Amino acid sequence: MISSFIFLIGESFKGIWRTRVQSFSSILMIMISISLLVAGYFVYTNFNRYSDELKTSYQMEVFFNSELDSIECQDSYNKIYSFPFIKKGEYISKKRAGDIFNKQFGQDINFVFGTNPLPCSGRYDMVESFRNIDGLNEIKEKISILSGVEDIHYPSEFIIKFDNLSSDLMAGFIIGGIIFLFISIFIISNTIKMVIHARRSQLDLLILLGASNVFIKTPLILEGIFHGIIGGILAGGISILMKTILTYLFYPTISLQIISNSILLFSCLTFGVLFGMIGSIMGIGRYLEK
Amino acid sequence: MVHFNKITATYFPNIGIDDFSLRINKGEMVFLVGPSGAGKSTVLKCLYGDVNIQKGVLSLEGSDITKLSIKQIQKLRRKIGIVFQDYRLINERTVFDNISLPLRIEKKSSSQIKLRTNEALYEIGIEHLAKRFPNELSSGEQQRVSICRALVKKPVMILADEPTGNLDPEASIEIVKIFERLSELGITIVMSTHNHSLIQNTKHTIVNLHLGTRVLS
Repeated sequence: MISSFIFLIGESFKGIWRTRVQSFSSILMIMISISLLVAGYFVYTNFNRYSDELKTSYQMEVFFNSELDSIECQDSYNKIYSFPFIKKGEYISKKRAGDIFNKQFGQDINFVFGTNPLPCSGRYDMVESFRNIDGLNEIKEKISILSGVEDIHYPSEFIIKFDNLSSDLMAGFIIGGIIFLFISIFIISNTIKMVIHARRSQLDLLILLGASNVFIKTPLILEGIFHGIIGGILAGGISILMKTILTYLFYPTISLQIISNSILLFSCLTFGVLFGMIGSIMGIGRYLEK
Repeated sequence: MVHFNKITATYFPNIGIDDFSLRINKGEMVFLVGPSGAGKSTVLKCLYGDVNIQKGVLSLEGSDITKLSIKQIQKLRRKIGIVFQDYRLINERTVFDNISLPLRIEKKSSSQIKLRTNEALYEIGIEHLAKRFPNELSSGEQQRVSICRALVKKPVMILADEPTGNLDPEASIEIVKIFERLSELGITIVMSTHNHSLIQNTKHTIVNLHLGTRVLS
């Protein structure tokens, strides 16, 4: 049994050498596919990072009734602050609002209007799961029914546009990724079919000598896995190089530190093994059915 | 040992055998003779399960080949040695590796493979070729390697499809002599040929085929 297994492993290595041109194209395809997937992942994660950073600036400003005194204003602010969807907040008193006006317009509000008409307010940052238009609308509904709340502001148009853009881009990434994955597996399985075709007479002989399906399939599947391992390692190397160069050129604009080199290499290797295995199983499936 | 009982196996219009009957005893040597398209290869293919049998019963050592599953056909092929006109040797492997292939398929241990392959090489008298590659050998030598590969698994029967088709007369006679020797050892031999001169004075069974039917024995 062990000698048989060693023989089958040896056969798959010999097979790679015997059909080196086809094996080379299979390895090359796996390498390119995984490298492009990694590049896609880099783009996706960086877009995600930017998108998350931008969403942290989503703020909701709640204006309280101008008839409330400062203690009642502070109470209303604290009531909203205690909601679980609020991450942090900043209380803006009438006086502070006046100071902001003075800073922005360079004039004393008391001098312009004769009094300070600005209401006290609160500025709130939301927890991550509420940093979208649906979440903000939900919060608005809950807050607007509270007594003392006069008005609620947030940049809804910008958020809607940005949310739509990011969900379209995400859908594009997912659909594109799936299509690309299928194309890769299809090309790899066709390359393995070419490998099988190059050895057709040998496989036909094995069938006539009474070889079991396992005996015929195992070296071919192992061969696909070996293609995947080599292609995966090469793709890992290319990805690490790509990451290093991009980080060197564009850091901190582009940050690729999200994934360590060892995890990157391991992921490429795993993808390579999967691609090689699925490709070879698809490639030999129909051949043996005949 | 083998009984073709009214077998019909056609795979293209007018190719194959029709209502074919034949009985072969253990250790017997049978020559299937006839022109191209007479059905000689189909008779052999029926025996190793490589053709769809539409009618009749074909029994080998009591079991009906027409009713075997794919796995059972694989097992059957491991008991039968097949020799082809074009040898079907793997050029990238040595003679030793080519001959030992059926034993690898049977998952024999390395020591058994070595022992049995050397025995077979000795039996056919080609032990000096063990380390050579098929494309370094003459046609006659390649066919002897092919016979050796059929013999290595100690088969109950050897099927030879035009084994002398690519050989010169001298090498052809040599191949037939090898088969006769194996037959004397108790191995059933079924060999197809269209070379009548090769079997002119034979004492063995001759089955004449014409357009898929047996015409004379």
